[in-house]
Parts: sequence; structure tokens; C-alpha cells
Amino acid sequence: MAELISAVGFGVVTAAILAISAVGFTLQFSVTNVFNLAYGSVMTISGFVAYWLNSSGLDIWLAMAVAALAGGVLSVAINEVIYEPFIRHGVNLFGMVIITISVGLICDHALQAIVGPSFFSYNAPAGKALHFADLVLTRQELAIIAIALVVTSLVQVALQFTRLGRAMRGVSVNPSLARACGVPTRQVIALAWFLSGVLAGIGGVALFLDISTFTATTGSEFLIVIIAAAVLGGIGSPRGAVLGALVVGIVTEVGAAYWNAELKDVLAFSVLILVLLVRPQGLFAQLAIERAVAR
Amino acid sequence: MGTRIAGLGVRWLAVAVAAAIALAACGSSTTSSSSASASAAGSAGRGGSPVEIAIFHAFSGPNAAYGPEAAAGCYPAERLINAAGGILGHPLTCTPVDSKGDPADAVPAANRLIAASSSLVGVLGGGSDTATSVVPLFEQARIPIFSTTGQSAFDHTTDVYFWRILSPDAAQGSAMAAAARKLGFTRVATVFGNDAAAQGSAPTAISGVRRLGLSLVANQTLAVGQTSYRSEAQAMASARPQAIITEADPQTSATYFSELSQVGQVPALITDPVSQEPTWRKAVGGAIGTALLNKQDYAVVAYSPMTSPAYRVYTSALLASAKQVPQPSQWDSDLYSVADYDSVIVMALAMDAAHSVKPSVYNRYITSVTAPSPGAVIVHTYAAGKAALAAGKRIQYVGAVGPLNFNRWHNAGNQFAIERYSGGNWKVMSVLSAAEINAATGS
Repeated sequence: MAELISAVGFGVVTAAILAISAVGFTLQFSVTNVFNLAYGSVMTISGFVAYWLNSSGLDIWLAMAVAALAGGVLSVAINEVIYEPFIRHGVNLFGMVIITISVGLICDHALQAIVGPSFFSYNAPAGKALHFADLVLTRQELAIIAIALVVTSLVQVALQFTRLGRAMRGVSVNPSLARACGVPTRQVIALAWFLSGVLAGIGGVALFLDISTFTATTGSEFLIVIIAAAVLGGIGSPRGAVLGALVVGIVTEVGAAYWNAELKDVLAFSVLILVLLVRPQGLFAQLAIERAVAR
Repeated sequence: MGTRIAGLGVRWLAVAVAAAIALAACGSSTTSSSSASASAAGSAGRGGSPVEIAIFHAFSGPNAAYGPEAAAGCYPAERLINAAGGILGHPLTCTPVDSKGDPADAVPAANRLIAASSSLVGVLGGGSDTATSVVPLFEQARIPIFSTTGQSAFDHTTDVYFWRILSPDAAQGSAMAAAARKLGFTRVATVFGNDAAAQGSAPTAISGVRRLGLSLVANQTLAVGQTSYRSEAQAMASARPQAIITEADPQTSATYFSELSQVGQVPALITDPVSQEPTWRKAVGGAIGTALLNKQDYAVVAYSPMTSPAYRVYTSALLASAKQVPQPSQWDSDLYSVADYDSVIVMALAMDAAHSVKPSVYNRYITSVTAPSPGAVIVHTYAAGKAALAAGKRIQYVGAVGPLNFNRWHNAGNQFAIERYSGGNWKVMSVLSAAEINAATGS
């Protein structure tokens, strides 16, 4: 029982980190329908912004806030400068995926050329370990869980109860109709990119804090598990992404504790496939098929 | 609209894809080596056309440190060889080629290298990430490849052009078990990544621990590149080992030991040469603290007397190669860099002995310049070896990693030592005797 409690607790920590990033990924997709595989690069670049600030003496949590803003600005810039011209020219979903892969590669390689092929760590001690029955968590892990709770709740509330949220959902379902109804789709899309980048920034710093060390390609390396959480929850659904992150996080940790640590990914992705067999649209969202890039 | 690609969009898409392909090609293809070529001129013979040794390693991607590590061996050798007049009058050039550490990129890169470079005489490379994919290509092209892979697949290889200076992973695992016993630990755990590089030494380390009568309190195989190893770390903390025998990539090791330090204590770590790589130390040191890492780490590595004449020559050439090797001093204790240096010197001496730079000809002379034989002059530098050969003498090159006695499968075994990091340097704490390692292997 003690082992199970520990594994579930550890799974929640992992889920918190995945959830922040997965919500950002899926929020932007739900509004723009661009499956942005450069998202991991935005996480990494934001993580390095925090690293440079942290190395200059700034507290890591303040550095995370600045990195979030940097992620937002970068995300908007990538969309405006690179994606938007392609979208205007009618490139379809698949074409955009290829373009986002290219952008991700360019960002990763350019960053690697700047920072070199080395490993980096924040100057941020994990803090005192706190014992909750059989569960041991550090202050840093608790802070990350709290940030994830606040951030994902804010996104959900904003989408559900604000005019902006309704506008985003409108653009998501039918951009042309939303525009005809007076929704400023261009601004809404830009805001979606910005929020997605902000979450990528927070998620990147949280991930890098958690794994202790990172390189110029770390964000992209972890993108697959972030996408898995988003897809499991239902691509395009922020609350689904949170649930997907919880499933992935807890299944991997429980799998490692009770089964075989080497096969924890096998277990997590088997669960993903089983869920999608039963609910191809994921746990919450509508199927993304036949959606067009929003413009 | 979702399935339509507008005419102009196609052009944009084509441009993007072309850019992506070009980017990938840039990464995979031969990296510019103008500085290398410039230095190659040096004082080498003016008449001969340059000959080229490829540094075929990852210069980008997750294993991007492998390339600079090998370059730190190649460029000092290039400097010394060219200073001695080149190889049979040909200046030597080290050429970086990015394998990206991935067979999918490494195979086309190797094929391009073989097809495009008429002056290619040898290859450094084929680490554990790509060796099984690219070694057959160089074998078919009849180009000697000195690999740093530890994979057991090459322990009894029949590939004529494959050479390995460092001991295979299987021997490394046994040596790590022997070190645990020598250090007096009785409760031992093993933690290895599930990648090919780490798994090479895991079986012999585990069997060695059991054979030596030590208590194996935990045996973990980590799926590399995870966001968390908390459950594994918790299980390890509960097992309370005195020492952990471990090999995993920097990222995995850093995350795992950081989380272990949060749920318990990091015990003594018995590591392999990977832990001497600057990237591994930076990653793990950054995660658990450099002081703790230095205190707990016992690296089990091929024994290389760092005071040997060849090693001193290497380090001085390395430090003089700052133009091609940024921060050269970071590599001076890196066994892989040292082995790559020896590899280039051996190839050059074999060419001199064969009176030919043709790979299929000089390959047969590699053992003749390294094997001990009656009357052979022991040399520690390229210049000395070249002079002795010119005087008609037989030579035995004893390199910076020590004697290089290749067996019939072109593997040169090493002695092992336990080293500790202290005062900015690796220091030999103890040398493992053959009897101690044999007790772990059961032979």
C-alpha cells in the first residue's frame, strides 16, 4: 500500500509537469488547428531564457515568469513570421505539420550552435523533502504541482466563462462563422499562440527543474509524451489534457513500482492505445478529423 | 479547404521542405574543416596531396558531445603528424562528419563520405549509437574504422577493417564488479540505462557481483529519457545499497540521481569511462552537486598511466590545438579522446610501415606497428616511429592508453583502474589485477 501511495504521488508530480505543457499544446491546436511540433523548441528556448536569468542571480520562479513571457512572444513571432504566410496560402493540416517540424529542427539546431552540446542546470535547490505518510516530495515539486493547478484551472475557467474563451471556442469550431459573427479571429488566434507560448515557457522551466539537467534539444525530446497526454485527453481539450497527463503520469510511475521500470513507457502507451480504441476522440474532445487550419 | 493545397501554398511548402532537407543535409554532411585543412598544411610535405581521417560521430542531437570528444583526439594527432612531415609526404586532415548519433542519419552520411571522399584513409567513429549500422559500410569500402563502441557484437568480429582500442563493455562490467569488491562493498545495486551503450556492460556486472559473493540488493534497468524515475529511486533508497554500479546517459543519470538524493542518500557510485566525460559530469554534477558527485564517484576505467611519455605528448599537443578544439583541457583525461588520438597515430604509422596510404594495403600493417615482438623498438610518438621505420627497424607503438596488443578480432584489451576525481584531475586510486577481474568473470 505504501508503495502504491508513493507511486501515485510521484505520478501526480509527473502529471503536473506534463499537464502545463499539454494544456498549452492543445489550447493552441484547439483554436488554430495547427499541430505545432515546434512546441518543444519553444519550451527549450524559454527554458534557456530562465537559465540565463537564473545564472545572473534571478530567483528561478521569477525567471520562470519572464521565460513564460518570452515563450509567449516567441510563439506569436513564429506564427506571424513563419506559419501565417503558409496558412494564408492555404497549406493544409499535413503541410503545416511538416513546416512545424522544420521550424522545430531549425530552432533546436540554432540553439545548439549557440549554447553548444553541453548540459545545463538551474541554480535552484529542490528544497527540503517533506514526508506525507509514505510519500516524499520536495518543496520544489509541491510548487510545481501548485503552479500546474493554478495555470490549468485558469485556462479552463477562461475558456468556460469569459468572452475570450467563448470567442476561442467559436474560432475553434468554425473560424469563418466566428468572423461573420464579429469575432476578431486574427486577434483571438494571436492570443491563443501567446497563451500557448506562455504555457510552453512555464512547462519548459518546470520540466527542466524536474529532470535536473537539460540540453538544447531536451524540450523536443519530451514532446512525444506531452502530445500523448494531449491526445489521450482528447486533442483540443484543455481539461482532457490535464486528465491525459494524470493518466500518463500515474500509469508510468505505478508501472515502474509494480511491474518493470524498463517497460513503463510500454504500459503508458498501451493504455493510450486501449483508450483510443474505445474512444477514438480521446477522453473529452471531438475528433480532429476534417478540421482545417484556422485563419 | 482542409484537404486543398493552393498552388502558391505548394511552392511555399516545397521551399520549407527543401529548407528542412538542406538543413538536415548540412548537419549530416561533411562539416567544414577549413581550419583543419589550414593546420594540416603545417610543416607536412609539400608534394603530397592531403589524406583524410573522418571523425564520424554525432556533432548534433542528444549525443552531440561525442564528436568534439573524438575531435580532441584527432586534431592533436594531426598536428604532430604534420609537424613530422606528414604521412609519406601527405599532410593529414581530420574531417568532422556528423552522424547525428542516429543510424537513420549515419548510414546516408557514411555512404556520402565513402562515395565523395577519394582521400579518405581512415575513420574514427561508430560509437555504440551507430556502430552496428556503419561498420559494415566501411568494411565493404575497405576503410579502417577505429571504433569506441563497447558492444559485445564486436568482441569476436570477423570484420577485417574494424579496430577497437578500448576494452569491450563485457570486460568493463566485470571490472566494475571487481572494483565493488576491492572497495570493500558487500551490499551492491546495479542501475543501467536500457540503451545499447549501457546494456553492453550490464550482464557481466550483474553476473560478476553474484560470482564474487556480493549481495545484489537491487537491479534496475532504466528506460532512458523519462521525465521521472521517482518510483525507481524510491525502490533503490529502500534497498539501502552501499554502492551502485551504474552506466546511463547523462540526462538519465542526472534525473535519476537527483531524485534518489531527494528520497534518500546517494551511495558510492561505481561508474565507467562515461562518467569521466565532461558532459556527464556537468549533467550529474549539476543535478546532485559537484562536491557530492566527486565524493561518491569511483570511475572504473582502462588503466592509462597518465605519466607515460605518449600521454605527455598527447596532452601538450591537445593544449596547442585550441584553434580546433575549444577548451582543450576539458578532454585531457577523457579516455575516449586519448584512444582516438592513439588510433590516428597507429593508422599513420601503419601507412609508413606499408609504404602506402591505400587503406586496403596499410590495414594489414596495423598489428605490425603495435604488437610486441623481439627486437622491436618501442616508440611513443609518431615522429619516433616514423624515424625508426625509415631506419628499417621494427616498431611497437605504446600509446597514451598504454600498450595496444590487438587480438585476432582486432580488439585490444586494457588493464583497469579505479580512479577518483580530486583537485581538478583524475587520480588512480588502485589498479585492478588480472586475478581480481578473472574472479568476476569466472575465468
